Amino acid sequence: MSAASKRALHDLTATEAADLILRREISSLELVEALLARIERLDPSLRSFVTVDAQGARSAAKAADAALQVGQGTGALRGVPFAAKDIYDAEGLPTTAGYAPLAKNVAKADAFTVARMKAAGAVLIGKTVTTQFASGDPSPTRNPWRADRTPGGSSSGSGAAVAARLVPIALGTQTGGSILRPAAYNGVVGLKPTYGRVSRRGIVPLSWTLDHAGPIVRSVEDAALVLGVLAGQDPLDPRSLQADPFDPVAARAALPRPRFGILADFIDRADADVRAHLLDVVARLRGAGATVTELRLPSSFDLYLAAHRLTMQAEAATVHAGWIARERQHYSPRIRSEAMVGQLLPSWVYLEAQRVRRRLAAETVQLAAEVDTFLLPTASNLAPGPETTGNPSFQSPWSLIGWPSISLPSGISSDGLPFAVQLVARRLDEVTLLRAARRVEEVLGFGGRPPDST
Amino acid sequence: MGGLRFDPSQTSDDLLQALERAAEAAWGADALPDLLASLKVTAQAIWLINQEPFAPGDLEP
Repeated sequence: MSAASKRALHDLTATEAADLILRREISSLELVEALLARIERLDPSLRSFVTVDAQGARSAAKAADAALQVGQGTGALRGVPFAAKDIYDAEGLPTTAGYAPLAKNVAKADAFTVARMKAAGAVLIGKTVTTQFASGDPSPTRNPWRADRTPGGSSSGSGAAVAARLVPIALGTQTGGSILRPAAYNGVVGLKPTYGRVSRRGIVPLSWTLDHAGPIVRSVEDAALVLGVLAGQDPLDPRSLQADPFDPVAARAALPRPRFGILADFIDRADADVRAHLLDVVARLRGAGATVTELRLPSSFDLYLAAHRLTMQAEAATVHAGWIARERQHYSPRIRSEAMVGQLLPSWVYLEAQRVRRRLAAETVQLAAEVDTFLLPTASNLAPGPETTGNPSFQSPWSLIGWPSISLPSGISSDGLPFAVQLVARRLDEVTLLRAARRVEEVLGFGGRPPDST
Repeated sequence: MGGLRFDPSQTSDDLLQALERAAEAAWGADALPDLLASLKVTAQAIWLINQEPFAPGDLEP
């Protein structure tokens, strides 16, 4: 019996669970039942799930177990449960996007990504809470570390559910900072791949040139495993890339002596405790053989935020134009005001923002020339109160230029909240990103968990 | 009174006033209080990108 098989089922990472299921030390059904019981016990207060498909999950788990018994169903995620943010379509389940008029919007087919997860053997256990239309209005989900703090957003339920050990994998989306910030505030790992690396077909859009899909998990190894399943060209997503396939095996080994560039523009703007923690992380990484160089953005930090804001406003206004005209009374205040103001922007504003965006991307390529990844705090602050989903300004520049980024937990503050660091790699270089992240994970050895997650 | 046009000499306040007028015309005066926070940040963002020098040929990288 392996060491992993002696641990509580809900504590298993996706990689551990997939290994144990393949060796038939545990069954998928046992794991699903353990997680369903845990969801029933903890989620009434956590409020991370909007739909739990217990019957569907049991049925899929039994099928996964039966397939393994006859030597089939050996996909990378055989029998491993996952959840999807409630803007992903999953056949037979409602996709509400946190918007009341969509309560009965039952999907007729799986999103491309959900279909890939299922094809790899993963078992969909339910849909997680999203802020309305994946925008900035707070959701009802609580932060499992402290109920008086936000879990972040917009992938609020995905971050909280993975942290509380209700599921080992939850899919999220990021237009500004909606994968990495919930991962940071909940003390788990969030990966935003390169723009276009993962199809967005079957996911409710917010801003089509900024929307990314990716996983929230509990280890860098799991992030690589899930990206290996999700990544791939989708001819029906016009932004899907014909890139070299992502190789999860190449991403396994930690970079022994990574070269990090710390971005002073971000560190200067971080809260004092976040800044002090980042500098401590830098010292530990240097002590472990990493090279750390201080860098400054060639253009103003605020210019990234301005181009991001104007792009998102104009595109979100277009996405929501019909609903805003007919039924804006159902909208939450922030997404409603952004969609209404976005309609006021003339074409030259959007086009100037794209011109700025292209220049910023080109400048950032130059900045990254001598390093493996950038290293910076994931968020400027620890999780704030529940009246907000937090500040996206440290995550949105990488959504703007489409570079891959990952957040991993790096410590716990004196008041019991997780710190997190963010790595950012060049476009399509997820292998280097994940290898560097593995090294950070090894050096920091974060073992924290929310107080009630045992 | 400036309009919402490309003009690097316009201030953020000029742009905010132009946006407020556009919002009132599009959504009505009653909607303005709820939109004001977004209008202010948007005016600042437009001002910032207006300060970036581009040549006419800089449309694509």
